[in-house]
Amino acid sequence: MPNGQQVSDDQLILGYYACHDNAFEELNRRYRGQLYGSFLGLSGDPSVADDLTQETLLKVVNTKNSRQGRYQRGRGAFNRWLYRIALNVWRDHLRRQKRQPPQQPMPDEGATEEERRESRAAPEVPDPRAGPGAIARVHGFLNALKACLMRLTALQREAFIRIYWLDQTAREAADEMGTNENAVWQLIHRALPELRDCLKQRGYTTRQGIDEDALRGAMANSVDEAIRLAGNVTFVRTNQMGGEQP
Amino acid sequence: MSNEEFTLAQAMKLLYEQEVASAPERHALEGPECLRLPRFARGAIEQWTEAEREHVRTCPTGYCQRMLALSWRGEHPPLAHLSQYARGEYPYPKAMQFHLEHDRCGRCRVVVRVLETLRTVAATVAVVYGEGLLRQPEEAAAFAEPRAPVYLCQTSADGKLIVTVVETDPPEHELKVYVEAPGCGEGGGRVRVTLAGESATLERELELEKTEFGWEAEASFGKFEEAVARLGEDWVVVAVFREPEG
Repeated sequence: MPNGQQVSDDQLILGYYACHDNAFEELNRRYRGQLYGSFLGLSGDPSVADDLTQETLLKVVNTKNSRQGRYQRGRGAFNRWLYRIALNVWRDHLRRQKRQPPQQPMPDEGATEEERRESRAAPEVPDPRAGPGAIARVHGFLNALKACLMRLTALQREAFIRIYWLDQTAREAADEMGTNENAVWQLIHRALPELRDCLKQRGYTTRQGIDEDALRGAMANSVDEAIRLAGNVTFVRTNQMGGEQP
Repeated sequence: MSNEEFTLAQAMKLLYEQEVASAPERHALEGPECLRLPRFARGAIEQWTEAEREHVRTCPTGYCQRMLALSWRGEHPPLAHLSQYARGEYPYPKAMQFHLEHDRCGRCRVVVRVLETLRTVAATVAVVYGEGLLRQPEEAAAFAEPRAPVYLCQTSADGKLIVTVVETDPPEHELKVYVEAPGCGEGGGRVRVTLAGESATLERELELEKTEFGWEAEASFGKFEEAVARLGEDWVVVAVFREPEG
């Protein structure tokens, strides 16, 4: 393996297939955050995200002895292959949830649409870094967005995460979701007003509420950078009656 | 893309970064002594050292047995493990309980139930696995080779019972199970055939009949496609032969 330069994902997975378990540990280190983040966005539950991350990595481990399932160079990037496995793991998780007995109903069963939406809403845990001021506003907004995402249907959420988080094209998302591009965009476009309304209910507007330039600047860096920039982000928090406060 | 969509897309990216940044470095239950994920690979489990087996048995956080259970998702534990568990002798019972109770694997629950009844009744059992037979390969289905008709045969460990599962030719195209009992005495006997799938269980009690070839019975489980659609992708056939009482 080359010294002094980043070893590629391809080299690592092939290294693991050649019985270097340390190569797998490096892949684990590189991707577990992204896998966990995706599963947390899909499920809203840290313990589910923890288990599904491990399950995905276990599936990767098992491709070593599988002729069909192995990663093959030249047939797409490693991270695409990994996310295909991860999203299959997510779909298996949803199938398992349907097997839950009636005495432990899943949030989607036996409830009104409103109750279903409420039950999917992630609890808004106060962020330890939150306090008065701009940082709190950034975290407040992101927590609200997270909670609102959990109120979408599982399919809408999956479409959002594929397109906006995993940078899949609509075609790729459609192929893997067993549907067509139009259906993927429909999922997203039907979800947008729901997200907007939900954010509004929580006191955040979207159209005027986010300073796009500041947010874009934050995007290019990291969450910590976003927090640093938060002083420049002019979230407008509206009161519950619809009026706006600077 | 409207301004609002663009802004939301940017906010989604920021949220993703936050979720990724919140990822723990390891699974919440994982301790420093716990086995690394590659040790839970198919094939590796059978090669655990005595020290590894002991750790998994007594893992203080339960992480290792949880990983063992996660490794069975989509794979199922081997019959020998289910059999040991049914006898109360399985060294990693928390892993099996997680698979049966938390993941609610219908197919393994039925197998364990059948095997548990054998603890008190003298009987012969033969198990045929239908796992993954009908699963489409990863390649596009349009380019996949036509699937060969199902034909599976298994003999019990003591040689007293032979079970054959067959997908018959069109136009009948049925799922049929044939049983032969070479070790059957003159009194004949009965064979209970259970098809346990992830989503359904189909059962038949068959009376063995004497033919020129020995003691035999057969049962149709209806149209192949319909039966398999009810059972799900992963199914198993358990045949239990009991000699008549007295």
